[in-house]
Formats: sequence, C-alpha cells, structure tokens
Amino acid sequence: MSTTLTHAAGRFLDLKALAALQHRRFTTRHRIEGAYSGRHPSRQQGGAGEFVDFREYVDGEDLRRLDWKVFARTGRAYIRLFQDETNLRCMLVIDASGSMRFGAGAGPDAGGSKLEYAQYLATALSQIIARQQDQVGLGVISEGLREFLPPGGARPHVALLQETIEKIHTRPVTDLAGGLRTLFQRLTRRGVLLVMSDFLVDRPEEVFAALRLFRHRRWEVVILHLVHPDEERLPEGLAYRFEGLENDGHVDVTPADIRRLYQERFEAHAAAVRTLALAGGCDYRRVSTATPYLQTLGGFLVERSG
Amino acid sequence: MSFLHPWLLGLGLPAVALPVVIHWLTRPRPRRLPISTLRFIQEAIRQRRAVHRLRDLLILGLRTAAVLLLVWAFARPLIGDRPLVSPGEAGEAARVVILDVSQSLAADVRGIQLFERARPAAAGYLAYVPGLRANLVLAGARPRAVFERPSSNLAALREALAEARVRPERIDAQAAITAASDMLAKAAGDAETRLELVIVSDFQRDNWSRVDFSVLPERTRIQLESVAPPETPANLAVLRVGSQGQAELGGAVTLEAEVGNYSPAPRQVRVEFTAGDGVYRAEGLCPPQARTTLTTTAVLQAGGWQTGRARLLNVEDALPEDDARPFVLDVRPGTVYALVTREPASQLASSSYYLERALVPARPRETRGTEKVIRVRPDQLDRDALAAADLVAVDHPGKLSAEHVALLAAFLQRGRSILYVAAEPVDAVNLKQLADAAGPALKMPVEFLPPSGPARKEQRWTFVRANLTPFSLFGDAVSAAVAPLRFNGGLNARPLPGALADDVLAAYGDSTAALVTATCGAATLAVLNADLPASNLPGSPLFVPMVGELVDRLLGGGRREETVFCGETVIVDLPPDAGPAAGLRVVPPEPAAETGALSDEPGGSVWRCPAVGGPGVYRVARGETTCFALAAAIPPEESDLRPLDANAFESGSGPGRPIHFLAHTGREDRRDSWWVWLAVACVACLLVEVLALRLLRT
Repeated sequence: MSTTLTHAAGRFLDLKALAALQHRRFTTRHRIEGAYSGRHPSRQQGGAGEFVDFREYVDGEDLRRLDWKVFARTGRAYIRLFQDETNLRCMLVIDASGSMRFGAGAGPDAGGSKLEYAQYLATALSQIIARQQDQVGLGVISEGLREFLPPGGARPHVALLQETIEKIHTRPVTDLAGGLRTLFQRLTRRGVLLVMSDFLVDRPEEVFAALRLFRHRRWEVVILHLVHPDEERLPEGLAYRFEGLENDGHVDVTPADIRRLYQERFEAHAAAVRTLALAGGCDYRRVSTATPYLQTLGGFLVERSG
Repeated sequence: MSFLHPWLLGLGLPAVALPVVIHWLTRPRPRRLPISTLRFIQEAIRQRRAVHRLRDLLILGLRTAAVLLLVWAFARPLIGDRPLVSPGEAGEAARVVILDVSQSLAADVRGIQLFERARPAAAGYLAYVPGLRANLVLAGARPRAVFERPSSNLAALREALAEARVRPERIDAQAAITAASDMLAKAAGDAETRLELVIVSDFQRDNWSRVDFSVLPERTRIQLESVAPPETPANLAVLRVGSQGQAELGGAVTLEAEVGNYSPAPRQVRVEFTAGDGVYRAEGLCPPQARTTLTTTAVLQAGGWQTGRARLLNVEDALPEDDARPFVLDVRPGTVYALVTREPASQLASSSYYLERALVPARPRETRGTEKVIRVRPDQLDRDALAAADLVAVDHPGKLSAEHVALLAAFLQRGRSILYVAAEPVDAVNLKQLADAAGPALKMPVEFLPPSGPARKEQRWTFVRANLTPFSLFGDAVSAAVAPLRFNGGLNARPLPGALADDVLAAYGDSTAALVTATCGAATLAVLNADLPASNLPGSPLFVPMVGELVDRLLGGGRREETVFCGETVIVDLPPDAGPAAGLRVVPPEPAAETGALSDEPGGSVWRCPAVGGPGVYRVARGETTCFALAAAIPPEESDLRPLDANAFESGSGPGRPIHFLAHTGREDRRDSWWVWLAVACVACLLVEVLALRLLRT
C-alpha cells in the first residue's frame, strides 16, 4: 500500500505524470541502517522480521532466539536468524555549478538545461521516496555546500525540500569535492547518496575521493552523470563563439575543425568519470537530458528494484 | 629590370593585400553559444592550432604570391640589361653600324645564312629617326665604310646594306673599330650628341678575343648584337694543304691536308687531292674540336708550278665554302745545291771536297731523289748562278764583295737557305756583312770573330743539343758519336744579347759556338764553325748523316708557304728564276679580281697586291710559263664557328664606354618572355594551395 502525498504542485512536480510510477519504489540492493521500521532490509538481524537462516548457538547469545524444537529433536543448539526491515535514508545531491545551466530554455522533455533536468528528477524522486515512507534529504553544491536539508519523511519536510529544489540557481564557481566533504561531515548515519552532476570539474579525482569517504562509511552512492546531447557533439555551423559558463572566457572556432577531437575528449572525460565511479564502488548511470526524465526515472527505478 | 606596363604595378601591388581583405570580408560571423565543455574545445584547439596555423600561413602566402606573380606578369617585366642603343630612340645621335661580312657569316643554320640574320638586324639600326646620322662599315679583311663620316642619308646606307655580300675573308675587327672610332670622333663635337657603335657579327672566338674598344671616344655606347646561334653549328674544314718536303719531278711527294673538325663528335673524313692530272685520296678519323693532318703520297709527272685542290668528300656541314682549298706545288727536277767556294773541285781532302761529298753522298737519300752540286766561284757569283739552287753552301769563299753579300742576303729573304762552313778569319767578316745586309730579319745567336790569341787546337764538342736536328737523329748515341771528334782552327764567337739559346746547336769546350742556325723570314742560315780538313769530323761516321739532316732542315724551313688569305695584302719576293718584272703578268683566279703590281727591286722582282681575291690560284707568268703561283684561300679562323663568350667583352671597353651584348635570340621579345613563366608560377601557386588544402584538410 502506498501513501499519496498531496500538496500544491510546484514547478517541477507533475503529479499526473508521476501517477504512472506509483507502483515503482526506490529500493536499495544493500542492507541499510534506518531509524524506523520500514520496507528495506536492515543491517540488524533481530528477533522479529522474516526468518532467513539457522546458525549454531554460541555461548553468551540470547537464549530467547534458541530454536528449542530443533534442540529437543537433535540435541544440538541452533538459534534462528531473522532479517529486520527498516526505512531508507536517501540524500539527494544536486550540482549547481555553472556548467549545469547548459541547455537552458528548452522544456523538460526537449532537453532543457541539466540543472532543470536534475530538478525534475530530484523532485520526482523525493516524491516517490517520501511516498514509500522513507526519508529524503537534499544537498545543493556549487562553490560549496550551499543548501542542506537532512533526510526527513514528514510532509512539510518534503514540501520544503521540493521548494528548495525549485529555487536552485547555478553559480559560476564550483567546488563539488569540497561540498561533498562538507556534506559528509554533516551526515552522521548511513544511507543512500544520490549525486546528480555533469562532473565537469577540473579534477574529477578529487570529487571521487570525497565520494569514497561516503563509501568508507558504507553509504550506497549512486552517480547520475547528466549529459546534454549538445555536449556530446558540437553543433553544425560555420563559426561559433563558444562562451564558458564558469567564467572561463570564450573562443571563436569552426566546429568542423575540431569536431572529432572534441568528441574524443568528451568521451574520454565520460569514460574517466565512469571508471572512477565504478572503481570507487559507486553505482553509475549516464543520463542524457535528451531522454524524458520520467523515462529515465522509470528505468532507474526498475533497474534498482532488480 | 624594367617593365612594359609599369603603371600596372601601381594598381596591382595593393592587390597583394586582396587575399587578406577577402578573408576578412568573407569570414563567417560567429554565433554566440554558451557551452559547458569549453575546456574540451580549448584542448582540441590547442592540439589543432599548430597544423591550422601552418595551413593558414601557407595558404595566405600562396594566395598572396599568386596575386603578386599575376600583377608582375601583367606588368610584363623586361629581364636583363636594357639595350644601350635602341633603333627607335630619338634625339641627336651619331651611329656607326659595323656589319661583319667575313666568311663565317655564310654559315647555314637551319636553312638560313647567318648573314641573312645579320642584315635585318643591322637594317633596324639604320631606320629613319629624326636627328640620327649613321654610317655602315662592312668589315672583312679591311673595313669598307659606305661614307667617310656618319650621314643622314640612311636610304643610301640601307641600299648598300641590301647589296652587301659575304666575303671569303676573315674580319679585322680592330681595324673596323678603329675606322668607326675615327668617324665617331669627328661627330663627337656636340656633347649632346649620342655616340653609338653597333656591331652585328657572329663574334667568333678567334677574331674577337683581342679586340680593344678603348680606341673609341669616351661616352660611346657600344652595342654588340650577335647573330650566332645558341648551339654552335658543326663544321668541317680543310685548313691547310701542302707537301712535306720539296716536290720533285717524278718523285714521290707526300701531300698533307690539315682538317679541322669543329663538331662535338669524331668524324671519319676523306680528302680528295687533285694535283695536275692526278687524283689522290686520304682518309682518317678526326677527333672533335681538333685539327688532324691527313696525308697521301703523290707522284707528280709534270714539273714547274702545279695547282691543285683538296676537298672533303661526302660532308654536309654549316659552311660548305671551307670544305675545299686550293694549293700550289713547285715541282722541281731535283735538289740543286750551289757550292760557293774558291777551292777547285780537283783539290782532294779540301773543305769543299768533304762538304760536296756530304751534300751528295754516293747513295741518294730517300727524301731527295736526284741531287746535284753546282760549284760557283765567288767571283762568278750572280743571280743567274743561284737561280736554280735550292740551297746555297758557302765554304772557303774568301772575302765576299758587298754585292755578293747583298745577293746572298736577298737569296735568304726569298726563302732559300744557306749553309756556311766558317773556317777562315775572313768568314767572320763575311758573316758580319751578311747579317748587316739581311737586316733585323736575320737573328744571329752569336757573332763570329776572327781567332785571336793562341791557336785553337784539339777542341772538342762538349755541348750538343741532342733533342734538336741534326743531332736528334742519333738519339742516345750522340754523346758517343761526338766524343772522338777533335777540331783545330775555326773562329771565335761571342753570344749576342737577346738571342735564342736553342739556335746554338753545338759548342766547343771553350764555349765557342760550333754549329748555329738563324732564321731569316722563311729561310734559315746555318753556320758550321769548323775547319774540316783540320779535324777528324769528315772521317767520322757522324759527318754525312749530320750534314744530311741539317740540309733537310734547311730545305724544309726554306720552303715558302705558297698560300695567302683572301682579302689580305700580299707582298711577294718572286723567286730568282722569275727574272725581271718586265714581261711578267699576274693571272688572277677570277678575271675581275685585283692583280696588284709587279716591280723590280735590288733583290729581284716583287709582286704587290693590296687585297687578293679568291679563293683560287694567282699565277705570275712570263708568256705562258708560270714563274710563280700563289693560292688564295679562306683563312682557317673562319671555320671555327664558336663564338666568344659575352662576358669577355666587358673588360675591353674601358671607362666611359658602356657596352652591351645582345644575343640575336635574346632581343626584346626574349626579354619580354618572363611574363609567361610568372603566369606559370601563379598557376603553380594555386595548384600548391589546392594540394595544401587537401593534405591539411580537417
């Protein structure tokens, strides 16, 4: 049974569209630590919950968990193991650097800016996570951790979160790695960290070094690498003046002259991000903003539900 | 360098910037596009920038060069020195045009005579221009000017030019330039008047290598216009014809022809000699750019002066006129020696006895068929006595009178050699008088003096020139041959300053000359300083062959060169047997040819002709009998058609006389031919640009 959240729909919240995903759940493949009882397997193996296995008794263990019937029948002491279920704590992290503004002006399904795409995606995810009685938090990173909402499941919290998402604006300066470190310091309990970024930073290694901190604390880290289709290949045309989005000047060029080299470098960058993510034990998914966000979200949820 | 259309440079040079302007005007206006991946664009540009910059610079350079070359081509550059004399240049000018009419101008190049190229070239300089006074000098063996000084009657000059013909002569270039210099000097009064000398010739190497232009007035502009083709045409020629030794009646004589092969390849050549009624042929291989002597043996059955002709068979070359050459031979019954001595023929073991035996040995020599010695007493010495002699031997003549000495000197001057055996003190006086009578033409190496002091005894020849005639005959055995010789008596001698050392062929131990020779024109005087009866020389095996070799040399050296060159002045001392000038007449090869004049002089008759015609044979005849014959032939220099390099003329003009060499094939049209190459270079630039765009395309 799912709980329906009802509040005034924001700019990025389309409840009608999300209705198609009402049977989808944001799950995790790992056992997690939750504050409350929920529907996700907990790292705790208590006396309640679903029976999963037997194990020989070890001195000092709670005799209440001893399977007396087996002991009476075989004379050997076994205890019964049960899997606890708890709720999920998901931390949504949105990169609000200048490069995320690329593609602004188009609609959500026509390849708008990467930030807009991330806003749509984060709003929908927050709605889905909250609907399944899980907790969702938000971190907005530009020159540092600009916004931080700790995970929560209350309806006002989710509304505040979605309002915060709606108000996100890009900043020309970015320090994604620094923001992640700050976020790490402020998060005390494990959960799922979902990072939406284009990873167009000078040193991606530092970003993933910060993410490894989360992994060391046994967070599940999910990377959504946002890519705009116009970034993958340069536009057709005789001459362009390309202007940087992060105060990095401009350059006049004929795209045809460097098209192949550019594509090679971009693909090399994407491959490097993917490699770093997988090497760090992160779940990586490359998301093209040309794909409608609901389709992306649906696929993402299906993939995670296994 | 000048330009035919220089104004186009003013219009065209700004067009060099055209590629840059076109590039600036047509460059695309960039569309602004914010992009997040600027770093990748910048990295890609950095990688491509080096190649692109090279391509852009290359293309810009090629386009600019193409425009520059096109502008240059349209301006029609005139490369090379500007002619100093332009036919159409107006203003007061005195111009002398020297036209080479020598035989080499008859060379045929691709069906056209060089002279027919030279004639219009010269005519161009004689076209009417206001203020121009000109003269035409036809230059052969001597210059022939149409007028005495430059004239404005250019029509007459062009008419004379139209009538000009090639002459079988060599050009006396210096004489022509001197004549032109005189004309220009007369016209040089006004400083505003341009002085111009134009020479139209093929500028043969042999004729022009020593020309001096400094005789011309200063500020004379000298323009040399060559009609020589770029490639020297191949030519074969008979350069000289003659006989080896004296031709004797009924005896074998070796005819020789010197053939010049002025072509880059060796040629197999056949020469046909026609002498008298006989025809003889010689054949041989002539190496390229060299002279080769071909010989054949002839037996002449008629005596006296024989005329003949040698011609090349089956030869096609640039100058057919020099493929044949006339020659004359003086065929004598046999060698006749006149022995002037006061010793009687009956006196055995005398000096003249030994000398006569050496001159006419018991076995005739191979080189001389019949030989005869005519003894002449000094008091009977006259022209008739010596008329038939080929060589005069003087031995113990006693004191010769001045008349006799003058007769012997005239004999020498007419090409007959003398062998003088000096033993008595009076011989020193005779020789001194002979040297004085012959004048500077006789160059004695030593002066013989009467013996003084102790008598000369047991002298030996300590020095002989083993490499020269007559001692070269003996080879390495000459030292052993002369070692036993002992001499008594003889004259003293002292060397004369400036004498040739090679003229002293043998010397005694006291450095006294023993055997000397001295040239006198075409003849030679040999003096054997020895008292033959007082020495063992007559009895030695050296004596007869030595005298024979010496006589051969005297006979050969005394042979007159019976060939002169057409157009040149001839002064011939007729042989003694020609007799007085009265009754003699000159028969030229052509009836219209100049014959000159005959005169009597103390030494005999003389024939003078200011310019012989020909080619052919001149005969001096008394009645129907030929007393002397002379072949007039084309000078051999005319057969070598190689021109002198243009740079050789630069040093000969002197200060104030600019000189310009203009090749016939490089006239104004050639100077203006560079625009074609510039246009080709322009197209090449565009092609290279296309290639660069393809190779460096993105």
